[in-house]
Amino acid sequence: MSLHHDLLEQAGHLAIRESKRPRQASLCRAVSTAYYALFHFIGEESARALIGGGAPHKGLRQLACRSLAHGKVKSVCIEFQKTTPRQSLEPFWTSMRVAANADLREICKTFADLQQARHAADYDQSQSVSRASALDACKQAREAIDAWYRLKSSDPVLLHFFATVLILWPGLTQPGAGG
Amino acid sequence: MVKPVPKLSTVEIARLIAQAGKVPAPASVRVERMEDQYGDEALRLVVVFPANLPVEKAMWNDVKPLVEKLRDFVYSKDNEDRFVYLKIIRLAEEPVAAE
Repeated sequence: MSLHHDLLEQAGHLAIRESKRPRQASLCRAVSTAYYALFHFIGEESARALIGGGAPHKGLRQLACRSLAHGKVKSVCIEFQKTTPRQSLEPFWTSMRVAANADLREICKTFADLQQARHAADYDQSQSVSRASALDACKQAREAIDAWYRLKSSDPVLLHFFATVLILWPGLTQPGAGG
Repeated sequence: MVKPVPKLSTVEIARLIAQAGKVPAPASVRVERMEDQYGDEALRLVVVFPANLPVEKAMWNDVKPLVEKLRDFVYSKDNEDRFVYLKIIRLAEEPVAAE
């Protein structure tokens, strides 16, 4: 099984591990693991879209995945929420109807939401995580992955564009990169 | 200049609840200014569900239609370009044991 699948299963297990009095450690790890499942999924799928699948390209895909930084992926997701993106991306926005795609919006919103939730779960000890929130995080990650697969079949060109921007983002955001 | 936080009126919230169909009605909804984990300015949509609503009736699947409508509405106000994070509070939930 793939890493994201195993992580999601683990997250779900942690959310219900203690039936009566759930431990904060379990619930926090559940939220964090649900986020990492989505992070690894998006990274692997984007690399697959750009580089290609199959064993011969595995090393290159891993290299592409290693280039992904959490904050950069969040920035891309937030950019793809916008009706008007930075200048260099504008020509694609209208032709690909980026802002109108519900599946892509769901993927991006969920990624940013889960990343923030993961940060709070891992570092903000002043707030407790509820079991409902932990289960919600698992559910949201699953739904975002489902949305990815829908997008892959309904609009592969848009998905390829998203994956391309994700990998190229550090270069696109450097000064002089055309906005 | 710091951009103001969009305000949702009770009339607007009631309209969105009606549009969302069969969803649990929140006790309160508010929007707060926040900085996310990278220090970027953002907004937080806080949706509080009442204490008499069982937690199992306010899970993601139950509340998603309403929460997403509320979030889209915040985006549509003044062409909001800050990311709107979500915070869902279920008052009915049993306190979680601190370990």
